[in-house]
Amino acid sequence: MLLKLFDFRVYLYEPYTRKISVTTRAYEVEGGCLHKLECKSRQFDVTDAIDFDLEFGSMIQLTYADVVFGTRDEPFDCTVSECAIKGVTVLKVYEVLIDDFRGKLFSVMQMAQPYPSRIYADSAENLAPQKERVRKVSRLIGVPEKLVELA
Amino acid sequence: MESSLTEEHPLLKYSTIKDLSSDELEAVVKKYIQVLMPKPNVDYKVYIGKAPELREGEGLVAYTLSPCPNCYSLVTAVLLRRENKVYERKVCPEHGEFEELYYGDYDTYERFKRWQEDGKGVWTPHVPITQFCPYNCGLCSRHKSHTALLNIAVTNRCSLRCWYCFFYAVKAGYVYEPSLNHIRFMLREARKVLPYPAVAVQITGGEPLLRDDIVDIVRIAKEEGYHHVQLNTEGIRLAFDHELAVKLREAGANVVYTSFDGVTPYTNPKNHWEIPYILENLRRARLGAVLVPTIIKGYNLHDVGAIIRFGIKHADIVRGVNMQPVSIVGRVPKKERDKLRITIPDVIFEIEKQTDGQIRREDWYPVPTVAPISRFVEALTGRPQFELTCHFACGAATYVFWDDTQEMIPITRFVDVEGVMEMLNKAAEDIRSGKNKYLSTLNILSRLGKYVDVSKAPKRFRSKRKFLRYIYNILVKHDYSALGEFHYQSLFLGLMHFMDLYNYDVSRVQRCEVHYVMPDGRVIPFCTFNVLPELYRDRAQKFFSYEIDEWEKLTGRRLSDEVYVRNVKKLIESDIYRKAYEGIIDVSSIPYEDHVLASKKFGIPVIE
Repeated sequence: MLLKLFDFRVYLYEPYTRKISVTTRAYEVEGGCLHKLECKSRQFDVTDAIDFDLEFGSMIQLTYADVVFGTRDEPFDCTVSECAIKGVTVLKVYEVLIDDFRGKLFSVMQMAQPYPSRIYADSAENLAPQKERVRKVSRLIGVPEKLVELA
Repeated sequence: MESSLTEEHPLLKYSTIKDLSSDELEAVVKKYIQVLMPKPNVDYKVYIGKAPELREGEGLVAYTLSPCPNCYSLVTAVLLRRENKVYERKVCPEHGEFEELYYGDYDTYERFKRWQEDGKGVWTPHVPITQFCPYNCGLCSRHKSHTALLNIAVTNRCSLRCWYCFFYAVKAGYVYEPSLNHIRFMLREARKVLPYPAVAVQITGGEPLLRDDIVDIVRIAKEEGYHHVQLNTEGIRLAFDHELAVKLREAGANVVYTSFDGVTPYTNPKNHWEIPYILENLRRARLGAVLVPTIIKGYNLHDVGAIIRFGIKHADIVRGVNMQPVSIVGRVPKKERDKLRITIPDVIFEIEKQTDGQIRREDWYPVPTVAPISRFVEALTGRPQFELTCHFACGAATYVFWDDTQEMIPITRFVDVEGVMEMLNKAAEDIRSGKNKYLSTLNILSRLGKYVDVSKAPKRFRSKRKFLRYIYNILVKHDYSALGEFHYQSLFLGLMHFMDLYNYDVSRVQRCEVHYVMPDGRVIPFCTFNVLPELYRDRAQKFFSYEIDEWEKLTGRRLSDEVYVRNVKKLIESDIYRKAYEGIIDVSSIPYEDHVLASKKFGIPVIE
């Protein structure tokens, strides 16, 4: 099964200015440990737009339509990494910068057939302190808090 | 459960589920969501990527995504500036280029854009994201605004046969009329959307007052937690049934939204003759009305000033006038569209002209302007609040007051709206960053007076204390009745421009806050429900409908018996009619033949 990760920087001019940058790392969860995924990178393509919305629509209130609307003539600087998954559970860690906000967000994927499902995701609009979120994620995936925090 | 499910025309025999409880219905109807969702490469294709190029004399405003008006395929569109207007241009590889006026004044576009604020999104989506917007509605987690006004269609029957309408039961070929338990299920589903569940519902149709159980429906909406219940009706039944208005009021209806396209029979052939009786009966029942004119260039644009004056004349019962620039449904050639097309700034400018500058363009603000009030209350209470965060191009509003001379005084003449909103934003920011909320509130109260110049207000508001008390009650006590009281002393003027296939903009629909709940429990933005009807409204309503014969057999009624036949002679004879329009138009100057012709031309037969 393939998993997509998005790394991008975007400056939105419309309808109001927003400077957003996101880098994503993903880890397979196995035996209480985290194993960083190896991925192949390429440029963003419109066929990635639905996955982009799935990832960032609720997490940081950013959709592909926002990018189209906001960027004027500037190209969308986004790298898509595709990672092959063997395991069942994946932790994604997002380093997010939105204007003055800088933080780490998490999501947890269950890689079941036919579609992977998201069983946990942070939302920048409703964000608990990082410690609380780390504790929650740690319990959910059965990995020590310290490892989640350092991921 | 009898159902025939083919890819293109899924159908369910509604009579087999009509007696189920709302819990039983939940298990049954949700199964069909996947069946009813739009299908890529069947219902639409995707051609996004290449944007139309700008031409000489054009400037870029923004790019967006929009469906092809012919085949619904999603394409990239450009919003461009030309001669100080904003246009949308898009090219479908199969159907060529489409260009449409998007906003009639670029300066207004820019002024309104400054007020854009986004909501907190949808934390409990009904559907996962599997398709492009707007083919994934339900709501999904792309959506940015909570439901500010939920619509629920309770029937597609109608007693009118308006020439432009295509979805009433007889034309559609089926009767959509969910059971009371089904309505309860839908209302419950819509309130599951977090962070802020819907609290205002509009019961609509078809003509909702054709249902004998309409009072029960209002009661159910109240029971399900909707504080504000309004009925969207042409009002004809209310004109002749005073008791109904009383029963609706007693059941908890707050207001009646009624069509009112102009002050003459020529501009308002739908209910010109009945409006005086509707208002009279609402007055007796103490049930407020909002007049809802659809504004069409070359048809009733010249009436906007008179419509507002009519609203003020009846301000004891009319709470607002909510004008809707026409949304052009169906496929209409460009030449024809240009004759009809009107946008929010065009109506604003026309109002300025027709009120002799009493209501000026700068008196209007886009809907999200009031978002700082919600942000401030949210910072105070620590709980998500009702907030208005639709796209700035979707709506505009102002409040007008009047004095003894009947001169209209917009709120902006004596309240520095921008100053107040900036102050509230700052206070919310301070509280969020740890400042004492009580001190911040006190600070606001001490500074509020600075933003109000009561010497310019209507006489009855010249007591600063009285006016500030309204604002205090709303901001600090979060007292809904305070807003109501404010409403009774003023007239709300709104403009809401619903999109159509020619000016569609996905960035607007993702911010939509006027939603419909569907019979399968999905919650759909107004402009996908009505603009892509084959994919949403009609598909779902047809699926959960009765065949006409079956409905007539079940109820012992005939749809053809419901057609309204107007008795013009009787309606225009009464004092109620004459007095309602007195000072607005001279009704005695309209020949009887003109009354009859206007009604018939519109599609409403007349007893002669």
